Parts: sequence; C-alpha cells; structure tokens
Amino acid sequence: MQISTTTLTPSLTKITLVGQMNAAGAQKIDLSFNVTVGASQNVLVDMTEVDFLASMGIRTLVVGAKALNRRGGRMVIMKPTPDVEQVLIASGIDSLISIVHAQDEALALLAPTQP
Amino acid sequence: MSSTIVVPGEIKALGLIDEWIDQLVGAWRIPLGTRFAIKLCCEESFTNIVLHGYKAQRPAEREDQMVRLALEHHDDQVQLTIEDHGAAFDPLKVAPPAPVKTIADSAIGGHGIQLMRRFTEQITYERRNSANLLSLRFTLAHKKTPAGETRSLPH
Repeated sequence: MQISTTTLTPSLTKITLVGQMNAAGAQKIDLSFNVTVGASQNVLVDMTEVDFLASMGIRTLVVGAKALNRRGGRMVIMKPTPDVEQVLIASGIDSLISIVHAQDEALALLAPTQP
Repeated sequence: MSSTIVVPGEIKALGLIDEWIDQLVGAWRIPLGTRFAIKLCCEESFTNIVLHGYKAQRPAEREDQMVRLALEHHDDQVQLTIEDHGAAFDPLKVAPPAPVKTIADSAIGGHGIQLMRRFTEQITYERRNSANLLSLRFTLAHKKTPAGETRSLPH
C-alpha cells in the first residue's frame, strides 16, 4: 500500500492511496495518514487506485475523519472503485463521510463558507 | 474442487491466505465480484479469530493457535469453511450495529461482521469439539447487493 499527499489549498490536503487497504495495507499507511490528518484542516482521500477495502482500512478512515471533525474539519472520499464503494455503503460509512466521484465536486463540498 | 490450508493464527498469515485464495479463484475462474467477496469475508473472519478468539486465551493455551481454512467450489457456489480453537464465538449472535448519524458518534471498529453478512449468501456457525466452525457460502450466478437483496446477473 502506498500513500502520497498534495496540498490543494491552504485548508485542503489530498491524500492519494494506492493498493489493497486490508489489515497489512492499513498498518503500512496508518502513521503517514494520521500525521497528514493531524496537520490538515480538511482532507480529500483519493481512492481511485485502491482495489480492496476491509474493516481495518475502514478503521483508518474513521479515525482520521473523527480527528478532523473534532477540529471543525472534514474528510471526503473521492472516486472509490465499485467494489470498494460497496464496502463503504455496506458498513454505513457513506452516511458519515461524503463520497464524490470528481475532484470539482469535492472542492465545492469543502470550499470555505462565506461569513 | 476443494483445497485446504492450515496457517498460524497471526495477522501476518493473511498474506499467505490471500495468495492461496488468488491461486484458487484464478484456476476456478470465479467471477471478480465473488473473488472480492471471498477475500473480504475471509480477512474479516480471520482477523476476528486472531484479534479476539485467540487473544483471549491464556498463554498456556496459545502454543497451538492454528487456523484451518477450506475452500470448495461446487457448480454455482463457493464455500469457505474456517476452523479455529479459540474461545467460543458465534458471529451470528452479534447484533447489527445501531445506525449513527454523525462521524462523532460512530464507533471506530465493529464493521467486520456486518460486512460478512452483506457479502455472503449464507453464514452458518457450529461449536464442535472445542472448535469454532464458520461456513460462508457465496453464489456465482447471483450477486447479493449491499442492500441485502438478491438479483440475477446477466448471462
């Protein structure tokens, strides 16, 4: 499992994940994922190239989303494969973390609100 | 067609199990959606055994913590049977998680059994001779949707 990060705006970081987000994969990226979440206001998780997701991977996403939420931030999941999206729906994560299928959609969702 | 593997009850054995499943589902030409379901449910049940069933045992009982997995392919079905000698645990008796509305209220874990229910056609559990026997059945001709409905796939 591989992880890379890109700063899209001062308040938005994109985390790109590649590989199988199973027990071994999640363990491999947990540290980097948590460090990035800890230093970001909002996070967009690009799952285009994640071809497997199990509950240990869901745990990584939920821990991150909860940490962001506590600081008033938000996580959005982008472009999961159909199989991975089925796992997100079956576990009810789709009702807690928004899923989008285009980066523009994510940017609109995470845009700072006007005072 | 069938195959059996015995692995140590350690998380690192998941790599070996993955390789075993990949070889079999490839040789048996199992459809991709069913392969995904088999791998997902196998990982969830194996992780439960290692992190809960075997972890709860006393050190003296931990010497022989092995897990036996059998995969069988009959006509339009694949059955995965998993046997362990950890504490008695019937996943069918675990209540589905209560729905939550916000990420703040959500539990961090507890999704594994829910996923197994949604991605299998049938689950059976038996405690026999101090062993947990869990059987998971997957059908190839029909695909179970996450909503729990069954629909026919186009031929």
